[in-house]
Amino acid sequence: MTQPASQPTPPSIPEALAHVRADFPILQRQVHGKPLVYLDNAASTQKPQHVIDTINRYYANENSNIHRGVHLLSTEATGAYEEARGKIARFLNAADDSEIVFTRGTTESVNLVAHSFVEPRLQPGDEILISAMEHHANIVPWQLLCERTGAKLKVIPVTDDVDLDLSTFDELLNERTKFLSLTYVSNAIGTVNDVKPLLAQAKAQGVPTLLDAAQAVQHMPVDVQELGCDFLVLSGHKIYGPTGIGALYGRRELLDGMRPYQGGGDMISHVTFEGSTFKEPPSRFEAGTPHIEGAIGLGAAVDYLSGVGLEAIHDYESQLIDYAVAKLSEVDGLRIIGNPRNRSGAISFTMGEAHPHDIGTVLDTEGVAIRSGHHCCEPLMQRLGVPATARASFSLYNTPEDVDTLAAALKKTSLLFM
Amino acid sequence: MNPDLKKLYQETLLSHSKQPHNNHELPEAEKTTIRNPLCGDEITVYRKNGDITFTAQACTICLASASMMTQHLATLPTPEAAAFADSLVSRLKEKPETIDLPGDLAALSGVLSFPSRIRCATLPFEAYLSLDSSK
Repeated sequence: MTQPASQPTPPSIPEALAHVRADFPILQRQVHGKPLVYLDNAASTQKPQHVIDTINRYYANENSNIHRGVHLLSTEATGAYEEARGKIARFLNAADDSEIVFTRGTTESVNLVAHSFVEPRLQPGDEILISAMEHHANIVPWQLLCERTGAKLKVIPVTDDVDLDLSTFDELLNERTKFLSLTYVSNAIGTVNDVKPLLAQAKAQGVPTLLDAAQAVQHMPVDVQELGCDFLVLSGHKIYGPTGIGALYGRRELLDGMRPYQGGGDMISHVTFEGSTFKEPPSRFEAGTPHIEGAIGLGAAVDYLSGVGLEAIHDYESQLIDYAVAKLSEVDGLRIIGNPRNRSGAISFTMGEAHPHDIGTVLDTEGVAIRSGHHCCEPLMQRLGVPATARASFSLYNTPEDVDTLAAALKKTSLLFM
Repeated sequence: MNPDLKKLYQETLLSHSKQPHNNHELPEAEKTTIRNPLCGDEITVYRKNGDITFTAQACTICLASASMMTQHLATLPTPEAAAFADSLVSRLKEKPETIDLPGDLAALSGVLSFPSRIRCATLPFEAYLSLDSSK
């Protein structure tokens, strides 16, 4: 049937994603008597049965501490933990498994790089370059570092469409710049930054780089060698894995030269009261008993993502986002914030007199979960002149029907407040 | 419409949020600003010679609560106003099943079905209380 020209056409779900909803048990539940429509994926994604089963199996069969027992359980747990590291390495196309450090998540990964790599290289007056669309996790660690060292934080501005405003980039990236830390995809707006040329320009000037890929790796294929970043950070729970686990990718040559982040067990070669020596990366950066089941669960999550296929996910989600933008544009009084050239994962909006929290509450009673607030991007909200937005964020299991339910619930919200 | 939602966004609350009372600065008054870091909502409460006003960048519930608060507390002597504010904040935070509040403030009871929104209702009262605690 041909749709009228004015009606957005819903995307069809490709074969690769045809059965994914059945993989996520939580999607069967009801919220306030309505089927759950989960559109808060940028905050945290739901978990597929494969991840839940993998964690259960670990606790039921292999649970033990790693890297220290000679017994079978410890050997198996160590094997599963290190196998997960290999899975993340292949997922990101790292050159070697040892380039993957398990952390608590994106935030800890950024803090680790700030402390162990950047801090020893800074002199007062040096500069660290970030952008105006960063998450607090890629702002505050650098502010704290600047306070400790006398370095200065410089910010690439954004346009009204919420793309990077690169008109002053050549001046911002200068001989004082000692590090460039950029988000690949904006968590608040969904902007996909064209980072490759910026990373190349930094590299040409000898400036090391970090890419915050917390909102990227679940939506598109990411290849650290092709991108040319020195570090890349991600969180497990945003890519269908457990909370409390994430990863830092770092080029081995750089990791080799870095001081430890935390001291403790498992990261040392030898300890005396006169001093200690440390293991090679990545162990040097994994002090104490790590989040073993988290790492194994994260390995299962990237297996799941790779099994579905990042190309297929990217193609489908792009169509779904376009459909959602078109459907939301039909809602009276709704203003989509930002009009980036390339969008992934999220749509932020406001609705006249309806405050984002009120939108969130009304949608909740319709079974629709969205996020409202500043999305841990207060400086971006200040730049855009909005105290808060409502944000719908999408994942591989969302459907055009989810978008229709969202749009219908927003129309109800509009009637209540306008 | 969901009955809890209907109770939350009842006419009394919506009319206060759409046309809040005492929603302006008060020159040369005591004032205090507080912010809910979870959502970014911010309210400033002013007090001078028994007049209470506010300015805010906040959601419907917070705006309505502030409007109703300024009306109600202005009818009470300062010590009683503070005691009332303190009691309202404590009682709402305990998340009881029901709560009796005087006059228009009764409309705030709708937040009890939405625990994540209780702070929206208490924020203006917390700001009022911090007028005294910040002295």
